[in-house]
Amino acid sequence: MSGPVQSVERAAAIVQLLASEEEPLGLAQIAAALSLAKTTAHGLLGTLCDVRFVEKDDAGLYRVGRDLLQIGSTRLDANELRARALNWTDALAARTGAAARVAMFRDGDAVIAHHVFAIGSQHQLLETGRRIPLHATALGKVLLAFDPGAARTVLSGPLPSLTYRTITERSAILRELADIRDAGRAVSVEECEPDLAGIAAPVRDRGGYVVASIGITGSVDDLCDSRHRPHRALEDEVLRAARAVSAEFGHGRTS
Amino acid sequence: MSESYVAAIDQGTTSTRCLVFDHQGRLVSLAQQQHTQHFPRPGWVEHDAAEIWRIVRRLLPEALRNGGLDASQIVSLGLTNQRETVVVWDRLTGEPVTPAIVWQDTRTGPLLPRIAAELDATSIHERTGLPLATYFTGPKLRWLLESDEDLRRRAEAGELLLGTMDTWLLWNLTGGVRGGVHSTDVTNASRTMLMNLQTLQWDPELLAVMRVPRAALPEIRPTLGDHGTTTDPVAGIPVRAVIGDQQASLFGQTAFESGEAKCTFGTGAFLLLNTGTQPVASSHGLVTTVAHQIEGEPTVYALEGSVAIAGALVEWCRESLGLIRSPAEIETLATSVDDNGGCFVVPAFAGLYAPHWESRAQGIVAGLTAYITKGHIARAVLEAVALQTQEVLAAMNSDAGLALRSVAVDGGMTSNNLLMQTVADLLDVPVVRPMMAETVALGAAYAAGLAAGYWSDQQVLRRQWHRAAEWSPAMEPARRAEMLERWSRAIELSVAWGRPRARTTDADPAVPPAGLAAAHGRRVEDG
Repeated sequence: MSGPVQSVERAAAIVQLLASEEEPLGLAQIAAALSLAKTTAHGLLGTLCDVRFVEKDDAGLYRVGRDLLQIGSTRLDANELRARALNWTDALAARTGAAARVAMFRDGDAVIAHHVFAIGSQHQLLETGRRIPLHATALGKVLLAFDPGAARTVLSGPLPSLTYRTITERSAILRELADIRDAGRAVSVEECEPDLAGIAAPVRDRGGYVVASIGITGSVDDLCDSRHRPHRALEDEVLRAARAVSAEFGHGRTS
Repeated sequence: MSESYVAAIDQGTTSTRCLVFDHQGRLVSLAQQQHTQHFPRPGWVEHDAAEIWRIVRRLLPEALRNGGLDASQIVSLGLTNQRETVVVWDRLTGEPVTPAIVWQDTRTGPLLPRIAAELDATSIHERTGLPLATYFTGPKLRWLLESDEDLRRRAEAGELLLGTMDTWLLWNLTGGVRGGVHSTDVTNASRTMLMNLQTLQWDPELLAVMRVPRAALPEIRPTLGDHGTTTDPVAGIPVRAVIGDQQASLFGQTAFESGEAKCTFGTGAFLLLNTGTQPVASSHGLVTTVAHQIEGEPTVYALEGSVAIAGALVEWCRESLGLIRSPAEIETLATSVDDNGGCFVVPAFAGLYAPHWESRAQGIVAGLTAYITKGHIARAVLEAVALQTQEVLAAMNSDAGLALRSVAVDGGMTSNNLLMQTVADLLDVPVVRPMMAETVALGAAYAAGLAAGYWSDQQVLRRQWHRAAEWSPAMEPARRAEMLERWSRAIELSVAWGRPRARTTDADPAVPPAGLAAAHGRRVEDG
């Protein structure tokens, strides 16, 4: 048989439709737009999700998969990320007084791509290139929350316990990641090291994909109130820096 | 009451930025755009001053918009700029009449001996603190005015205005053809080779040698002071500081005292040492320059080690060779190998500046074998930046008679960790980056804010300096010595390659690019 294969044509049409839409689409919208029966569209979408050309979010809406977008292009260069984040990471450290760091997902870990010292303390070493645990740091949890690939990698195995506060249960971390997606930022309090806290937020590229995380780390007393909730002003600074770095990648630009 | 801020326009060699800072010296908003580099012949580098002004007009409102700010919240504007680059424009139309000749341009090479024949290089150095080199504005102006009879006539008739980039932008910002301020500041004027370093005024003999009519030149004003008020693209912002970019970054690093230094890694690399209120003459190939002048206070001077090509070499790898897609990728490529594999790159694109001052030197890649990959070349590129910095630091230490114990660095290239580590390794001192890599813009903002009373004194600014990162030397002394030895041999080769050929082969059609510049020099003589 040499003619066109109908299901491939239809799958391609679905990908094209999703790629042309700003917002994720529901099954009914997709079926209606392409004049397909819902059951047909559902079957096609299921296969497209399996091969990661399409992603389904928690609300049941579909969008083009990250893997498909990255076909033929190379992943973000850590040095490129640092160059673009430089000015705003400085500003974040200057505004909060805390150490500011930028991290990205690499081969199963969160890797520090950039580090600016905290104000005042004397003995600090550059942590650039260091790997930090994805499930026990604010920077790492942001990456897990917004990167399904990273989450799959990490949650397929056991989560090592680093302190008595480390989240090690699969169901607990899934709840935590959902909360992080809702809040748009992550907090970790003594989950990696005693007396160490972190606040982090996602850095998005032009298409809205989370390519990195940016945040601050410091003592629990410096970053949190007496009930271990992060200070609102510090949270706002982290979110502001994340928006500014995202803008360097074209996110939120109208032109 | 809404908060107030200071703004800086940083007109650099490859891009222009507009930044807004708050009372703690923290970045609030930023807008930036690159402009076109024109390379019409080997050794020639030109900018379109009209394009640069269009970019400034766009960026200032954009920076305000990005920060959600109103012009009335900007209490003072500082203007900082690529130095030495010359702009000539029509007083009545406001249009540039020639391309801007950029500081890196070497077309005046063949002209230098004729200048020296009229006023010897030693005398020029004594008056200006500058070695007779293609780098500075004076020879560029003489070349322009000699290459076009009409231009010279119009300049002498008072129809044209001359200036460095600061002067061009200030004139446009403050009204242009409708009463724009035609002035410059002492730091920029000290780079023209037309200003006497003692009197801080245009030197009549130097003007005669460079063929520059006094009436076409701007007034020289103190760095911090009243430079007028903007009318375009946003009206009503007082311009309270005009300062050359390298002096601005010295100010931004809060190196206010004698003995304090910084090194900026931008298009070129520039090591400046504050020498206090007396100009210090270098005996090791450094430039004596004005650091800044506050109205009513003694002038502060600096020694400068100027390296023409630093970031420009990385940019060349991207734009001309296609080795990388973005400047940051040079680090990725360089870390794909452990060392340079024996390869050295001497980027003498604009001849060699400090401490050699060999205007005719040309770039070379030495040590090529089949083993060399693009990773090795990327590594050699970064090492070339560090090795040139080492040379000017050594000259600085010799001149100052003491060794700097650490180096404060800034500029976009400080995001390159491998480069910063290599600088620490080869200089054998810790390298420290402050919490604001854009120190050029910060320095212009500091100067403008101080002049406007936004900050009370320099001590306030000093307290805002914080360490963002530090790299410690980790290279074996033997390895360092070997690197320096091989580098000095590569420098010798680069100088030798640029030397004119022996007379008998002058007519050889296959002359290297130097031949073009020489041919052009003859054309100038004929005119």
